[in-house]
Amino acid sequence: MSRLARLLIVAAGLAAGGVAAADSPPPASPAPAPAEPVGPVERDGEVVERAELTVAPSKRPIRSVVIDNQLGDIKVEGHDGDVVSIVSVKHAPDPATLERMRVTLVPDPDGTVRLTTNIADARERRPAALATLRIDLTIRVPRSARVEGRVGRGSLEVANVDAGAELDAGAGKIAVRNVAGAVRARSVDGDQRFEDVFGSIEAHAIDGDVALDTVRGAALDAQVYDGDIEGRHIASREVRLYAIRGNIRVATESQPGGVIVVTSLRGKVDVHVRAIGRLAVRARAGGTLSWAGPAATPGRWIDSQFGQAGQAGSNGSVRLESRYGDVAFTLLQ
Amino acid sequence: MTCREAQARLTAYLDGELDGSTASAIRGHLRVCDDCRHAAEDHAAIRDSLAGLARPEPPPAIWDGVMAKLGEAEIADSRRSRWSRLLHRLRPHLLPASLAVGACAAAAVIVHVRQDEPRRAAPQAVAPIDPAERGATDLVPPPAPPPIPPVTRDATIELAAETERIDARYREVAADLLGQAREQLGEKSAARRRFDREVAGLERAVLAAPAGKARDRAWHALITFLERAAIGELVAQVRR
Repeated sequence: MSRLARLLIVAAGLAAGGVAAADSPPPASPAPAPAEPVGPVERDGEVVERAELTVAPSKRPIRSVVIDNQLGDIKVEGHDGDVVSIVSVKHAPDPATLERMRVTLVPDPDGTVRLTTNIADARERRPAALATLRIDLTIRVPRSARVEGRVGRGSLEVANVDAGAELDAGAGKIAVRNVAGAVRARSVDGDQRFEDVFGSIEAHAIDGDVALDTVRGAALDAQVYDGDIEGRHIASREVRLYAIRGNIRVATESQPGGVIVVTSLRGKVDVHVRAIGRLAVRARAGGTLSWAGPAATPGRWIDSQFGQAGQAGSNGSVRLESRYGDVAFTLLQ
Repeated sequence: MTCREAQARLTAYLDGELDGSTASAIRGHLRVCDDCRHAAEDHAAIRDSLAGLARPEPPPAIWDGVMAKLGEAEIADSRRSRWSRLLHRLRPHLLPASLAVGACAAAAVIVHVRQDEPRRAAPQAVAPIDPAERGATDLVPPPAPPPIPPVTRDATIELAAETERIDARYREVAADLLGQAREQLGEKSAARRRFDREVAGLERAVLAAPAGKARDRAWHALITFLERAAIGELVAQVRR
């Protein structure tokens, strides 16, 4: 059976909202297995349809799950099994609009499972406002699978996976919890939250905040244009936090030979560092520099040493800057 | 011409909508009547000041609504049967035609009745109409038509608009950062040339990327680079 044929079968299954499964699984690809179908029901003035689908691995294990949902939320959770289970819940104002809303699943033979939602053109049907419809996807994936997700205005949550994630959002929020492996996140006007991440993070938000709680990876790189960065229990070896218009407030542990760079162009910078060895701190503030080092002239770089000299290689460096705002530095030992 | 007649036609006169003789009569009246002349001057001043106002553009939502309603009307047309469409097209002509047919029929009946009058029996008594029944017929309003839900903008259009909004935001942020980054680098320097080359490459990547995930990522790459440059982080690297 050709890939196109498989795609059509699976897409038709999910679009119909009934048994979202291919009849005969292709030999070289993960096979969608039938699940309990639930037909559309009318509830509180809308039509709701729930469909479930399980994709089992075939010859190759499922290594990657790619989801694009511009019509609602994505919730991904890792589990110990080797299958991908998908629950889609469609909300529409009427049955005709529900028919327009599609969930397409493409299981690739290389071990990638792709899931996409879309809405067909209204054509001769009554137009339906975006606010009156949505598709929410809840997906359970093998822990070892890498997750790639993209949402528009909906939220994107990923939890309990070990191979990292690549996440994109428009106005929606991104939330990452208990994830190992490299995580990359980008949003336009949605906030981002990372909790218990044991891998490198690269986060970029344009008009949103970034919140970090318990991050232990090789590198933490978070950057915002107009938003705040707030972090605590950060223990990455290399920490780089940048903001153009927002404030940065972070509590971090200095790692031996580690680097901490915290810079805001127009906002305040407030950094608390718990250090084992000696820290070489360089700071510049357009406003006030508050630290235990020597007094500084606004706008000029000043260097100071903090903490006790430790074993060779245990020292770290810190660079703090706000060109137009205040900078505060506190050493915790 | 009296003042009353003249003032009733002032607006039409000022708009040049009167025939020659009426306009001439008003002109003549205005020459001799101070009150009407002042009234005409006031009208002209108001008209000129209104003409000077900027014409507000209707909000896009109104246009969307108009287009959606037009679309619905066309869809309704397309679903009518051929006979229904024919009937719809002839509807403006049906009333006069039916009146003419009715008049002809009435004339034929009158002629027929007059010819048959001697043979006809006395007219039958007409049963009186029950006032209650009549009242019920006249006073009970017809069933209200089903409410027409407001025409909304379709989700596909809103999704496209959201993409445009986000693209516009990317452009705005990139333009702001580009200015700040260039300030850091100065006008003519090797570092500036390298920076400009890098930015040009990232901009090309944005333009080449198809809409969606690829373009979003290209925008983020460009903006991340510009943010670091604006902060001064990349400037030092470029200078090295």
